Amino acid sequence: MILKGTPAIKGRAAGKILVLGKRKKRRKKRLTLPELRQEVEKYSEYLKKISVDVGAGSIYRVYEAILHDPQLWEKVESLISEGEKNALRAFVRVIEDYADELSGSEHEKFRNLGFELRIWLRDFENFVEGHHSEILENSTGRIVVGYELNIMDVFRIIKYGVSGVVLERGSLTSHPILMLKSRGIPTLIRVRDAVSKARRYRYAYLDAMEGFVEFSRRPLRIQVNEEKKTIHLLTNGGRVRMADGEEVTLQINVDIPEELEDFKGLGVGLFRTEYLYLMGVVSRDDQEYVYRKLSESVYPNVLTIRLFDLGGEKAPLGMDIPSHVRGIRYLLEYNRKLLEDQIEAINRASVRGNIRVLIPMVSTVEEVLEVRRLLKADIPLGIMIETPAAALIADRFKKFASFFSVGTNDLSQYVMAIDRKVSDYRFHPAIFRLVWYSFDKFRYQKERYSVCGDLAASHMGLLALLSLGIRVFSVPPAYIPDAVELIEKMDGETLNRVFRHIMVAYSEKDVEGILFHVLREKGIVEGDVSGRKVEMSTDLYESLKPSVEDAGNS
Amino acid sequence: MKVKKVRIVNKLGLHARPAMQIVETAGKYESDIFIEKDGNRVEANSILDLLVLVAPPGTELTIIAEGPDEDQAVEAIVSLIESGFGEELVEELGDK
Repeated sequence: MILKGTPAIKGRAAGKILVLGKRKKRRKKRLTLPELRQEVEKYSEYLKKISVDVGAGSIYRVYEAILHDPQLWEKVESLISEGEKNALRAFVRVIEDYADELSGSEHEKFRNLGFELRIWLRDFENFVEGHHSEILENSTGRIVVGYELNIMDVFRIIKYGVSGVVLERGSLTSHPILMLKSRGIPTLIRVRDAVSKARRYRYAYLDAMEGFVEFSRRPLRIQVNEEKKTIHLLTNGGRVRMADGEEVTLQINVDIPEELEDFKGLGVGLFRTEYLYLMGVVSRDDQEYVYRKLSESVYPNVLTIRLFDLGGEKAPLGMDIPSHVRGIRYLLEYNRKLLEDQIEAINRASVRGNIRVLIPMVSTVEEVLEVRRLLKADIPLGIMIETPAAALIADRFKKFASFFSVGTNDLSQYVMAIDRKVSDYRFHPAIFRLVWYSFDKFRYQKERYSVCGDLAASHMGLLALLSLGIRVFSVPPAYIPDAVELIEKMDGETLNRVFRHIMVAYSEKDVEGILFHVLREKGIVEGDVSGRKVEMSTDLYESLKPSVEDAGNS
Repeated sequence: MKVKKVRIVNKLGLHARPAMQIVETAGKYESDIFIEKDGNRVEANSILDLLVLVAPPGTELTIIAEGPDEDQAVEAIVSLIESGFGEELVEELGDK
């Protein structure tokens, strides 16, 4: 049985199916001690079932030992007798104390154990709140089929080596998908009825190049080519030359510190610290340790640390805050302590002189000044251009910020006034006009202005952004080889042609049309990481011809 | 009361799975079993307490048991630790 979908991350994979069940809405729970014990037994049953299914007996026994640890329960009971009314909260507190103690250890393996304990705890909480992940240690090599993913699922998918993902919903620009993209895990989204169909089969072959998934009762004998892309080892700090010699700088976006391994020689244009937060790395010491290690391994190239971008859909821990309170707004208004700790950790970790700090969701100059006041004077500070406000007055920020980075997903969301989870408007001309308007004030300081958003990680997006004149890009590691290929084939004349078309475009289709056309001309349509294929709408193109030619002559 | 010293020899140290094995082994005996590191004493039935002892390879632990089957209990725990919990062993501990 074959189902079609939209490729979100290109690639092919085959393996046993793992179906993720339906999610209920998340609620905060209050439990009495007997209720908590009951939940623990239910969770234990669920773990048993899943681990036996996938043959992960010993991991189940570890959790079992934790769940029935007599010392744990003694401490929970004593917290309750001291007046804690919510047994679940007592349970979480006790385990977090253990995790803190482990995280404070000087032995790395035990520190990791602290992180793992926290991750497991989140899983337990999710379970109690009716929101559990079925991806366990022995999901290695499986094809996960579900409605949609949360961040914990993604973390588990990466950690446990799931080989492919098929979703009924999902958006090219949602955070879970972006995180998967950095790992290049083949992913197909918007596959109708995938979950109910998958339940009736055992094996899947996923083709996220052509955009389909095949379910079968027997293993599919399709050879999956392990097309491990050879990474260009860019020894010169990520500088790539276009066909006419102009230089473009490539950096990488990093979520999880381990991702750096294969990319020595490149600067990090964006290190998203939210995932540290999710893993419980929030104390000054823990953060300092991670930043220092990263800064060492990236040296002599830059490490751009983006401050915690929490809130909005990145608030998986049940934070109840308005959706517009995100990034720096959240840190300043709701969690100043977290901001101060993070900056202090960065101040201390900055010994090599290669650390830079990036502020998310900036809209006012005051926000930048606040951070500048806390940050050591010799650490360069930059801002994300994600709000139309910041894009429109980017040049006014020059005095206070030394570099600028466009987050295309959020910017499009706010320009189009549409939730990114609902729809992708990636190529609307308004977005490019706005980016161009803000970048134009940096025409003679191109090194200060970069794009780290997802748009730069697709051939069409990268081409469009190059055409605006932008020359610094930070992309997921998996896209680096494709980016190099595209850049090397481009030249100023071609880019000017693209630019003129975009500036006279009426609609998204027009922009996609010219980009598609130029890529085909250069023989590089394949390789758009998002796998999105766009057929140029000939009607529209024909109807536009006069104005397009106009643009060509101007 | 029975007391015996033993050294951690597996590469990961007293990690999650080894600690789980100690808890399971201890559960088979009637005696109260304790494990001590640098004067910190924990009960062998608590995986979380065992983990926060933090015992990387090379750590010396003292196994203590008190009860009707204390001899067998200590021997069982000691041989479990000496065998490296069936995991990969540290090659030459003496050099470190």
